[in-house]
Amino acid sequence: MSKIRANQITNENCNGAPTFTNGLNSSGIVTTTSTATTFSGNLTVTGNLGASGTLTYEDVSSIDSVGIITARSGVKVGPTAGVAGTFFADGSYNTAGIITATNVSVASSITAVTYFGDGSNLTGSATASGVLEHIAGQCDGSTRACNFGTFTFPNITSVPGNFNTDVYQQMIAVSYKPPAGAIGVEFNFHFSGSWRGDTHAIQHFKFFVDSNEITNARFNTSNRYYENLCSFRYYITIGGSGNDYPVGRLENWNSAKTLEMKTRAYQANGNRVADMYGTYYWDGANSPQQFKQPQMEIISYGNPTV
Amino acid sequence: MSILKVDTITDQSGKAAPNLPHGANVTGAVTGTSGGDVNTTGNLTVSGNVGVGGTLTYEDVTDIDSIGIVTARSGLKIGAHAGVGGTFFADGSYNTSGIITATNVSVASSITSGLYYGDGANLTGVTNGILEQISGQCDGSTRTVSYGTFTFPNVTAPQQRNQINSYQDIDASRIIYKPPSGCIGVLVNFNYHVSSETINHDIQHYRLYMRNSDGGSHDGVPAGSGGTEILYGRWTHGGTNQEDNINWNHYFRIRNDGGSFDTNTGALPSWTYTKLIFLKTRRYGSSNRVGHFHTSYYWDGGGDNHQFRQPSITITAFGSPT
Repeated sequence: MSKIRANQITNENCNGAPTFTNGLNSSGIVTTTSTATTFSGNLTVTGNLGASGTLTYEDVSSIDSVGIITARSGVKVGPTAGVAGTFFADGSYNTAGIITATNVSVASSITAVTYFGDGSNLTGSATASGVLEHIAGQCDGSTRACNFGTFTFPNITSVPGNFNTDVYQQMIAVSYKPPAGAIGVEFNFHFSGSWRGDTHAIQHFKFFVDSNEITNARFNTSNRYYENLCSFRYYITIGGSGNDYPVGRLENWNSAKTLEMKTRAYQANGNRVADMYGTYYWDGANSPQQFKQPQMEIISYGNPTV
Repeated sequence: MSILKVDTITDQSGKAAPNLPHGANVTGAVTGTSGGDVNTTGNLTVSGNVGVGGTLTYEDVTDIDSIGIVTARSGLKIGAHAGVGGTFFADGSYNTSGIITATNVSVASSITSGLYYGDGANLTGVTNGILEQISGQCDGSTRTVSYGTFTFPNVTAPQQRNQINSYQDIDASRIIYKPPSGCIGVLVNFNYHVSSETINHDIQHYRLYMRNSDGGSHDGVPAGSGGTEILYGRWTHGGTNQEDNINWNHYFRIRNDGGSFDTNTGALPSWTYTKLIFLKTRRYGSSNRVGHFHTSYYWDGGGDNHQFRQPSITITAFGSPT
C-alpha cells in the first residue's frame, strides 16, 4: 500500500488532467465542477441517479416507472419515422390505430362516421319512438332492404278468382324477421273484395305464423251486395315462456317466419266475397271487373326509450 | 496547497486503479476513455445535464417528468406489472379493460359497442324506415315538412258526390306533397266516413289520380291538369244501407331503378317535384249510391239526421330501414 497525499493532481505539464489508465476507485464522493463530463464507456450506478439539470437521452431500451410518467409536451407512440399515436399536451390522443376498450365513457360527445352495435338504449333516435322498423308497399312483388335482409312483397296483379270454395285457400304469405330487440310485430293487410253468387256475401279469414293459426285473429266480412275495403291488423307479441299461437305470442323471433292469410267462402258458389281485390259493379254496370291492388305494412316495435 | 504533476496514476502494482478514499474533486472534465466504465455504488448527482449516447437502462423510476416528448417505439404499458391496465401498441392501438373518459371522442371510421347510451338524435343512418310522417284532421292546418309547408284539406261540412253519374273529386282527398331525399316510397292513408241514404243497394265507384302540382311534366309523371289515373287504385264500395268508415291506403313506390312511371301501381322513377294526389268518385246510378261523404245518415234513432265526421289524412315517407 502506498499513498499520494496531494490537494491537486494534474498532468505533468500542469495544463491538463492526469490519465488513470487503469481506472479510478473512489471510496468518497467524486465532485466535478466542469460543465462537460463525458463518459465514452458505460456508466453504471448502483445507487440513485439524480439530475438537477436536464437528462437527455435516446434509444432507451425500456422505461419501467413505478411512479407517474409525466410528459409535459406529449407522448408519441411508435417509430420516429411514422408515429402511430400521439398524446398531446392537452391530453388529447390521436391515432390511426384501434382503441379497444371494454367501456368508453365520454362526458360530451362521440363523433363517428359509422356506429355498429345495438343502439336500442339510445335516446332521441328514431328507434326511441319504439318503432324499430316499418315497411310498407303495394303487393307488387317489389323488395325492401330491411334489417334481416330483403323483404319481398307478394305479387298480386289481378283478381285471383280462386276463393270460390269452402276450403281455406292461401291469400298471401310473406317471410319476415324483426330486428333485434323487437317486442312485437304488427301485421297489416289492406285489401278489397266483392260479392258474387248469393247477394248475402260471407267470407271467412284466418291468420297463421309458420302454419300455426292465431285463432284470436279469425274474422268475417259480410254484407248484402258486399263491395268494400278491409284493413286487417294483428299484433304478434314476442316474449314470455313458450309459444302461444292462439293469441299470437312467440317466445322469440330469431329467424324468418312465414306470415300467412287464408280465406274461404261461407258456401262454395253461394254466400261469398270470393272476388278478392276486385269489383262486381263498375261505372254503372256489372262489368268489367276492376282490380284494386292490396297493400301491406309490417311494423316492428321495441321498447320506447323516451 | 501542493501539486502533484504526473501523467498516469495507478495503484501500487501499476495494474489497477488507485483508491481515492475521500473521493475526488475534479475542476476539469472527467473523461472515461473507450472501454473504461464508471461504476459507483453510491448516488450519482449531476448539477448539470446528463447525456447518454448509448443505452440507458433503469428500473423503479419514481417519476418521469419530461419537458419534451416521450417516445415509446415499441409501445407503452400502464398499470402494475401483475395486471397491466392498459397497453399502447406500436401501431398506436390502445387496449384496456378500464374506462376511457374524455370530453369528446372523434372517430374517423367506426365505433363498435355492445350497447350505446345517450342521445342518438343526431345519428344519421339510424332509421326505422320512416323519414317523415305527418298526420292530422282535414281542418286546413299546416305542418312544417322537409320540403316546406304541408296543408291539410279543409273539410268542415259533408260533401255530396251522389248526384251525378260522372266522376267528381273528393275534396278532402286532395293533397300536395313531396317526400324528403332518400325516400323509397310514400304511403297515403285517407280515413273518412261515407253513407248512403234510403237506397237499399248502395254502390259507389272510386279512382285514384296523380299529377305534378304545377301541371308540368316531372319525375316521369306527364303534364296535364287532369292527372294520370293509377289503374290498380280502382274499387267499388257497395252493400245495403251502407254507413262506413273507410280506411283507404295507397303506396307510391319510388323506383330508383331507371324504370318509368307505372300507371298501374303508381310507382314513379323519382319524386323531386310536389305532386297532387286525389280520389274521384261517382255513383253507380240514381238508385245505387253511397256518395254522401263525411256524414252519417241515421243518428240517435232517426234517419236523415246527418252528423258530420271530419276526415283525416296520414302521409308516411319511407327510407330504407337499414
